[in-house]
Amino acid sequence: MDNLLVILRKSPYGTVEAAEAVRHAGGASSADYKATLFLIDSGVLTAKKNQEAGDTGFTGLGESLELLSGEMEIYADKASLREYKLNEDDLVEGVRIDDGPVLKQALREAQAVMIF
Amino acid sequence: MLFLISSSPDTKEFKTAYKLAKDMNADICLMQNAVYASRDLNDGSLYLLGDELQMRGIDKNEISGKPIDYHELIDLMTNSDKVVGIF
Amino acid sequence: MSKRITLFLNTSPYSYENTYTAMKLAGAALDKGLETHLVASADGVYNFLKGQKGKGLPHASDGFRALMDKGLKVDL
Repeated sequence: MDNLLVILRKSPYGTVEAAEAVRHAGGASSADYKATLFLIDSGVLTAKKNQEAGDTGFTGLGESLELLSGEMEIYADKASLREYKLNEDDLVEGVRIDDGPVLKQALREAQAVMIF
Repeated sequence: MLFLISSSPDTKEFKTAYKLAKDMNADICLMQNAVYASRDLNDGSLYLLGDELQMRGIDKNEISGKPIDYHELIDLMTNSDKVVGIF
Repeated sequence: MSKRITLFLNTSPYSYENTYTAMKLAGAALDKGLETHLVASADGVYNFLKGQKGKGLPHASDGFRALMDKGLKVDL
């Protein structure tokens, strides 16, 4: 199976990077790729609970992650979570925490890596 | 003077703008990704766009500063002698 | 004489949140009866292209069209 790693380093909404990362990972997954979405640096803020896009016109990315976690692996970097004062309870369902080995393994295994 | 800051707190742009605003005793309103800074800064004088906090899942209990809406921001802008910040 | 506010938008519609911020500020200014202008420059002019089919983000040209109907004056 084709294998794609998407790394998101940017926080949601202010720029399009987070939405693009989620969109590309989701698209790859629905096209039967093995997709992994890895959140690092301020990208971990994309997994914060209780995001409410409401009627802004933006897609709520926390909810998107929750939905996509059923079909792909989504990880948040532990050190980045610490830096942004987030713990597991602050994250949407389905996001796992990695303290290093998963990212290294995913980088080794992925056929392609997209960085946002 | 009012500074509008939209960059993420981890950027050089944010740090420069925040320091400059403080040095000049200017009011500061954080918008877009800059609102994340309200979780770390112990600065009760900040204005924060409430919609941006809500969209990002940031609760009022985890911030310092005063959430405002766009109408209040327009009042701040029109009552300031100068507004610094471009979109 | 009514107060006047001028917003400056120089980024493209779907890469940054600036379009949304500009629309919300323009809407609030118009609600308050301010003479509201927006100057679009550089990639900001793309906010006003016809035929945009953006989804998942605030629609730029539809949003600004509605604001122009309420009195927003736009210069490119």
